[in-house]
Amino acid sequence: MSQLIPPPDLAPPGIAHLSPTDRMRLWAQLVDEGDRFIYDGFRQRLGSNEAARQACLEWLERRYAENAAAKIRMLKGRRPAGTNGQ
Amino acid sequence: MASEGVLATLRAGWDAIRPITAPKAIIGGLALAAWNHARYTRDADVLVAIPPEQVDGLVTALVKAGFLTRHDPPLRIIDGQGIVQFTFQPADALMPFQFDVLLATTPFQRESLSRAVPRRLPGDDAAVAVVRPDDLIVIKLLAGRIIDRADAAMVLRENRNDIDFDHLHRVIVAEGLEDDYRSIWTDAYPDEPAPYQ
Repeated sequence: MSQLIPPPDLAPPGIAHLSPTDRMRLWAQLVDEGDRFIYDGFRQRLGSNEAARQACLEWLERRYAENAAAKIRMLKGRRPAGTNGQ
Repeated sequence: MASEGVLATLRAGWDAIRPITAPKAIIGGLALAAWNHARYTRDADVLVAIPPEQVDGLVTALVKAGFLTRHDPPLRIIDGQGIVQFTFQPADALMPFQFDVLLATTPFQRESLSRAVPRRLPGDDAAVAVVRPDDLIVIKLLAGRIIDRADAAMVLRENRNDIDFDHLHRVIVAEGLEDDYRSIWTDAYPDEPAPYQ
């Protein structure tokens, strides 16, 4: 039973048919669209561009902190102490 | 027209550190997209096998290219691991992007850098290095959040023909990730028995 991602028959269309550069561009455009969605949400809630930008920066700071912890976990690995991982 | 600011960030960052001869590869959202899984993640991360005493040169190169260090001193050692974090504001992007340089130290990390493959960024003739999908799966499992595990499952599903399963399974065992791997295998291939049963 799939829990983290949709089962293959219900998953959205894949992007493997695109060239690598087109897949990268698609990702960049997805980031732009997501950023715009977040910014516009803050703008609608807070009423000004300045307040929306400040809220975005604070939101980013919270994400940075969460992401940094995951990156450190990745760097540290899970190898038992005293082994070299091979 | 979208700004594609995350690509501008990676392009500027990679160009700045390109002259540094240490092995390096991109591991963040770009690597996911390169291996058939694009989602909203602003992570622009580079894994670099550079000793801490040589980080100053890397910082100088990035600052010269317009990157701002997030910490003073720039190199943070957290739980024994080195990370240098920058921000970069591309022209016409709504928000700045973070560009993280992660210092590779373990045999797995160094091996993943040696196995990285060249990929051309959109609109750029020069290639960057991107970790292979099997190594990206391990990186994501080690990061350990639910979203990372979902990424690992998608990379596993979407790159079956490109994954070196002998290599992947060896690293999974070496890193003690068998339970996590079984779980994402079940997500990726629900109708197939998982390894290490």
